[in-house]
Amino acid sequence: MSRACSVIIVPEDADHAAVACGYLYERNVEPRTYHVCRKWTGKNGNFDRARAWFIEEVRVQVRRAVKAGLIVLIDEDGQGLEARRQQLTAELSQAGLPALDPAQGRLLVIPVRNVETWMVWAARWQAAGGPRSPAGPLGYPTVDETHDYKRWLTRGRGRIPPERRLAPFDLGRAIGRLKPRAAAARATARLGGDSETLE
Amino acid sequence: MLTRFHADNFKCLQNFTIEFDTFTLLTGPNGSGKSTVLEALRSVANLLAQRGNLETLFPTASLTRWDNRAEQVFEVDVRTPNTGEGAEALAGGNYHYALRIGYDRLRRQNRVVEERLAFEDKDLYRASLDPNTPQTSGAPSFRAQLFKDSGQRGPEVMMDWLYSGVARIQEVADNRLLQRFRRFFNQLVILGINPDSVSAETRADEPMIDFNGGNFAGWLLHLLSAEGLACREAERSLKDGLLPELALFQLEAEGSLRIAKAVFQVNGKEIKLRLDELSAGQRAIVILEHALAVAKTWGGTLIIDEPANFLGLTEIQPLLHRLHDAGTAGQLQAIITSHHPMSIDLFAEQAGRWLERAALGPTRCHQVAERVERLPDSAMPLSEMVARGWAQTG
Repeated sequence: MSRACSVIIVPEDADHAAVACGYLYERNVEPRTYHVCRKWTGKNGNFDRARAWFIEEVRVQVRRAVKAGLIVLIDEDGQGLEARRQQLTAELSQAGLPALDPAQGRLLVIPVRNVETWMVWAARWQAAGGPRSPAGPLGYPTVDETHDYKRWLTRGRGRIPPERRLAPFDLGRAIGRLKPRAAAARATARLGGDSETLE
Repeated sequence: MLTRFHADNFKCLQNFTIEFDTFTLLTGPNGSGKSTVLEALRSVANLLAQRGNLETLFPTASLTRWDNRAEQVFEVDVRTPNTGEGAEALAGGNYHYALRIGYDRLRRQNRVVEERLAFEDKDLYRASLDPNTPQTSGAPSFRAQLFKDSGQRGPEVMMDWLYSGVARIQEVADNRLLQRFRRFFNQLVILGINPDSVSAETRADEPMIDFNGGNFAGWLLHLLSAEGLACREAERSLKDGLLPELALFQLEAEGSLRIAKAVFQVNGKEIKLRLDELSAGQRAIVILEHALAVAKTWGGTLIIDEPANFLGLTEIQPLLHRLHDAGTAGQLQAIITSHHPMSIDLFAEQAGRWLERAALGPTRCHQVAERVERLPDSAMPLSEMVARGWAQTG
């Protein structure tokens, strides 16, 4: 059967792509239906390129008759969530494109600080058994706002440590395994928050 | 050059027509019929080059599954430039060849029902079977009308209905137009290289390379004696590219066998490697370079199924450019099928044919440019649109 993918993923780097793909894998989304775009290289400083590609994606999708979903993943990088969102909104507006609207299937994912922080969080969370459990096994660092986990993951031992490729660090799959309880889902929808459990 | 090909009731090709330029890229999803177009062309070319008969080249299984008609039709248009000099000079022009094959599905038999070759709308050969002729009685032959180059009616001859009459007519002084048409198909190189099937050993000279390149050693033996300059050009290109230490190719005798070897000069030392000791990618590029050089020498047509297969990324774009440039410079005609993003981004918009088919339906051909018009203006490469499946949905 011919492929006509319906979700486009624009990740800032390979780790962001892994988050999106892990999530979709865990939610049984068929790989033929989504397409990851990473047309740039390098581990850092890809925000501008991801942003430019994102604008192009919206432009193409607005002009195409058949729409597709769009997932953009960029780090907050200490800029502030609202500031990051504003940056993209302003770019869209400048390009004469409509603002991000979830009803159009366009989703902006901004991990606070950076995705590496949340990968460590995922490893610790999964090892401990639940998102609310503070304790983790030995060997997993605690997650706080003082450590630079990006540095820890990418340069901690002078090379990329193998840990980040292991399943516990797969943030996307960890999120994908979350199954909202009916009530919690309703509350989450109404209030936002983290009333979800790990199955 | 090949300008048009029509096939009807051949596998997924049902009333299918495609036109070619000096450089043409066939692209489209898997299963859209790209390789079938090449297979149909190859079958017709092999019939005209006497490399098989109807039973081997057009088995009953080649009929379209969902079509109950017991007849296949092929048409080929070929344009040739002026050729020869002095008394040998022949004006350029357009050939039109048509072949109709009748099938008896129950007996799994087939035969030529009609065959016609015309040059600039003047008949050169015309044969048609009396529809009332029983399939199984009498000699398997029928009467064909020959025409001279001048257009005058020539003799009538009896032909075997399992073969192309055009391919088997004896060469005489007043059928040189027909000979030129036949020569075109004798020199038509169609490749879908499979390096694993390439043998370094040969027992005989092979005038044409097989589709998968398996008999390259035999073809090389032929080329070294018949097209020495083309071989030197191929070696030069390889030396400038993937095999900088290459000195030459040679065939060494070992008993009744001839072994194709690449001779390298490394630090003043000569190293010989059998053809099958080269890597898969190296074997592929060796064959491609020889085919390219020979097609340029002949001024012929080179058709390649997936030329980028087995090649490293650094080799793909230079090869594509050389095929394209040789085509646009009139040195040869290149027709390629490719899924490779580089070929799509570089050439599809100008020279692309988009093939597609509905599930188990017939193949249809569109200009890629028509599809591009329906896509939004964007910095996004065309291959990206194709990869997402957005090119076929328009």
